[in-house]
Amino acid sequence: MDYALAVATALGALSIYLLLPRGRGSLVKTGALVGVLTLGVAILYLVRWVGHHEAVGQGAGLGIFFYLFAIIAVISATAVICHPRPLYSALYFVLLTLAMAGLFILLLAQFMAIVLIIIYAGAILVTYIFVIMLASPGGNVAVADYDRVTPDPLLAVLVSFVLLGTVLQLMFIGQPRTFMAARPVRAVAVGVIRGHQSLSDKPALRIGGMELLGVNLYSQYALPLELAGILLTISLVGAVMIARKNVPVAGVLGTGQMPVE
Amino acid sequence: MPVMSQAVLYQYLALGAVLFVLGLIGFVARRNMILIFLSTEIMFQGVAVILIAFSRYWMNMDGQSFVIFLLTIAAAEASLALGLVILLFRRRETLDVDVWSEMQG
Amino acid sequence: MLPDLSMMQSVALIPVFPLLAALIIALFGARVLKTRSWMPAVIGVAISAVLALSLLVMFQRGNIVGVYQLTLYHWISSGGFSIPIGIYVDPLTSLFLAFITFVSTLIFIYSCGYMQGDYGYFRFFAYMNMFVFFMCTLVLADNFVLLYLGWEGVGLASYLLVGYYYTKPAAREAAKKAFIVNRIGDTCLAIAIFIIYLVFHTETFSRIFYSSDLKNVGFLAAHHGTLIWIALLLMFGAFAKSAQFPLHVWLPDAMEGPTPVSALIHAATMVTAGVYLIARCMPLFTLALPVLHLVGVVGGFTAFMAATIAMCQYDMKRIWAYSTVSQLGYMFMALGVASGTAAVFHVFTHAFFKALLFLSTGSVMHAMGGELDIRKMSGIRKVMPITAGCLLIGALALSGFPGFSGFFSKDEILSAAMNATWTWGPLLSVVGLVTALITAYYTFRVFFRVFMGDLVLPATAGLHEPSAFVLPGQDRHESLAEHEAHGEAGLEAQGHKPSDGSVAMWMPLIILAIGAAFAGYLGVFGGANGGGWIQSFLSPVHLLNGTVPPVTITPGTHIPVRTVSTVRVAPLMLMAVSSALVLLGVLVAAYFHWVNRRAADLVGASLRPVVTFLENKWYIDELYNYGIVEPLWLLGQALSIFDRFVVDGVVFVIGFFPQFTGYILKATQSGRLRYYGIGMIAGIAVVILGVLYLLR
Repeated sequence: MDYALAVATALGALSIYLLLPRGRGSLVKTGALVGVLTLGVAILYLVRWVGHHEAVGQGAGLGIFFYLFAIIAVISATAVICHPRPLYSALYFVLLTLAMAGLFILLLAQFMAIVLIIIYAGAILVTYIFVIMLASPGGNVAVADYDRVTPDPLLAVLVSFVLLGTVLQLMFIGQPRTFMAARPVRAVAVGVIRGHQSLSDKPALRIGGMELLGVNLYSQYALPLELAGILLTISLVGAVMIARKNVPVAGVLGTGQMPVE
Repeated sequence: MPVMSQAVLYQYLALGAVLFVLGLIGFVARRNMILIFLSTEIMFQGVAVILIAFSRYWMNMDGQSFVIFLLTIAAAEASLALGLVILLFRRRETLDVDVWSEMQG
Repeated sequence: MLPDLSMMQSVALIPVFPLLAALIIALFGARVLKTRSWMPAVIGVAISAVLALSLLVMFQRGNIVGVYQLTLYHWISSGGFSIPIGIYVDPLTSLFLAFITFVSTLIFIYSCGYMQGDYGYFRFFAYMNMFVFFMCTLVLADNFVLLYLGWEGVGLASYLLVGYYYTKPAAREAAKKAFIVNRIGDTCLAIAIFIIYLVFHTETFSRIFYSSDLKNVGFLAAHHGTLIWIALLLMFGAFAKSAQFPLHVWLPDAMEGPTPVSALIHAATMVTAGVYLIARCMPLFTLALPVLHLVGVVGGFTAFMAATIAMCQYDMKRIWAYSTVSQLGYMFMALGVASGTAAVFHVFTHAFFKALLFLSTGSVMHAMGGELDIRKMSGIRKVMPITAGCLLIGALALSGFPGFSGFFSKDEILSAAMNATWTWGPLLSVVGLVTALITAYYTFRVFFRVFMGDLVLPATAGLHEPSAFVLPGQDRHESLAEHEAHGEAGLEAQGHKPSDGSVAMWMPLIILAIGAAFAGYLGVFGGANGGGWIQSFLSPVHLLNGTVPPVTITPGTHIPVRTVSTVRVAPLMLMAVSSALVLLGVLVAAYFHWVNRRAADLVGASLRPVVTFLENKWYIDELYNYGIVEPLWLLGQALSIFDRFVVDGVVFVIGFFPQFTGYILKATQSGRLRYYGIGMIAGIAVVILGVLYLLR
């Protein structure tokens, strides 16, 4: 077991537990503090880990932009699930999407980045915001009860973080225990701040282009693509049917009443 | 460097796992139906970044194709889910998911 | 001349048209066709009839010789086991197809008028077409499994049609009874089919009947017992479908169905399926002579018993039902002396005259408002002359009056029995002669009672048939009372005087009457070598008349078949005797039931015990009740006690544990999505942790 990682996971769990809305006596500030602590520990851990790999001669640093986007993504995701006002959650989700798009560009998936922004930030999130507006509870309450109080936050956080901890341990198990063993400081700094990737590598650039994606989709995944189109149509029809007014309460669709014996 | 090292891949995977679990917490902890669905979208994002990282790692486009399908599912899910949310909201004038617990044993 | 292939392949279409019609009516009958439902029905069957008749002509002209086989489709295929859907056409099939479709067409036309205004008009025609489809499948099948499909299908159609007036409890009961009794036979038939596969490794007719195994002494000796069992089980199958002695009880009750159904299914076609089965399997039955003789004995007994019962019944349709049982007995008698030709000939003529009798009775029923008791009406020839004439011809044919169709076919059977190689064959012939006397009596008893003498109409005459649906809130007695209140004026107001009915009703009667009168001559003239047409037409059918098997097949001992040199009674002499008996029967009936009806009552009173015995149908239903139903009921009671205390106790103890566990676990089923989600996550975490620590 990697204790540093375990400590980071536990701190993360504590932070989320504190941040989740809990009505009166909110502990948001404490939670935020613990969150910052978590991020610090995580970054320290990463630096150590990257240093080890750099020492072995394996480029592990991703450059400052990865870490920046990753931190934005994690913080905004936390805000989405912890903010008591749904509208703010939605807006934080837009931020998350933007950060993800940045990460996609780092991964040479420029097309996917654009698609993500157009579809998620542009279409899906706008729909969510519409629905949040439509389905706002009546009265003058700024925040509804069910948004203010979270039931059983401990159970949810505990179970989820046990899962996360297990997965992370699995991933990083067998890594060096010795802290900062033989670290080439300059290499670490270069790895963490500048990274080893370059957007100008020509074969890599071709990967990010739409051309290869199109060829892949329309040759290898032609049938699934058609099925996905059908699925979209079906869900469209389904959504229309579900959301229309005067849906019969029980019985046969169409007549809207139970057959009389 | 055109080829990504395994160490780099792992950092992306870790990020994906963290996002996924954050979404999971939102899914089980929150009571607002809209937020529940928003949390599933976070989970989708976590999976998407993992898929694209793999796509980069193996230098092929399968991962990105999967993300296209993932986006399709996300869009379909969002349309149906929001339709359902509106329908349920009309019935009980609330978004609280705990109101709908008729399936209890 | 080569068989015209395209023409031949159209044979396979014979069952298709009724099926199409049935589907069309079932789909569109309720909403679109309604009272026009008869159109697709009649058209579908009529096309089949034309095809079947053209097939007959092809055989007659010699375009087809022997057997024509065509595999249409591989139905079941599993390893070496393969069941095709195919047709097997020989003159026997052709003759059956021809009369089935022809008589069906006439009865369908009759039904158009007869069923008019009945609730569920379209349902009737859908079922009837389904019946014709299955019947054609049955006779066309080229293997036992497909035959079984048709066999079950006609049973289903019969069940549905007997229970057609399903609001009437009697009809429901009758339908159930028919179905259950038939189930016994069907089970036997199914087992026979299984054994056939075990012995022959195929179900196809041609491979079984023409198998060289059947001529192989070693094979026959090895399988002697099995062949006996096959024949015995096939025989029971045939007995149930054709209402022979132990299993005949369902047929009279089945008269609860509409009259055209009785005419088509329970007189002309379906009940002859048993005769078809045994005639078709005659190559197997000739290898199991004891069973074949049993068929003959049971046939003779049934013929006699049913005829005596028919003497003392008062419901017209029931009389004809017992008469059908009796006539089927004749057919089995013929099969028992290995004379398939005679049996099939009688099936053929019987289809005409019995359908005619039933349809005429239907007309009477229609005119009399559903009344069928022969004691309540008299002299009605004055109001319905065409029906009277047709029923007279039918009665003459049924009683075997010289010159009419029944005479020739019955005589064929009697002489076949008389000249049989089997010792007791002549005895069967004598039973047949006695039965012929009784038949003439009961047939004309009905005719003289109902149609001759002074005009007496039952109170219900002219009303719409009340056997039609009694729907909730509509009481048949109301309309009856209303009718009586209005008296004659009411009769006029309803515009429905007792009469022969519409053209659609009396036209088929006349055509059937022509058939009933003259069909018999096909068995006397028109054949090769001065014989009858039927005999020479059927002569190519493989072993139809079961020539004595090439070897005696008793294992161990070789007992030669005794060819008894009986006094070969000349056909003419037999004809003279039977004619005399029939005339005697008619005269007795005329005296007691037309000239001097009082005398009949006196004789009946003096023979009270006998009459009661016959009125109660030999107490066979009661025998079944006390012999089978009651003991089963008692056993059921005993088992029920055992069930309640022992089984239920165990079940309670077993059931208590999950109940208790469920009570405890119920708390986890909060109905809240959250806890299910947490449960899922925890499960995944546990699995991953487990894998991590167990596989290390």
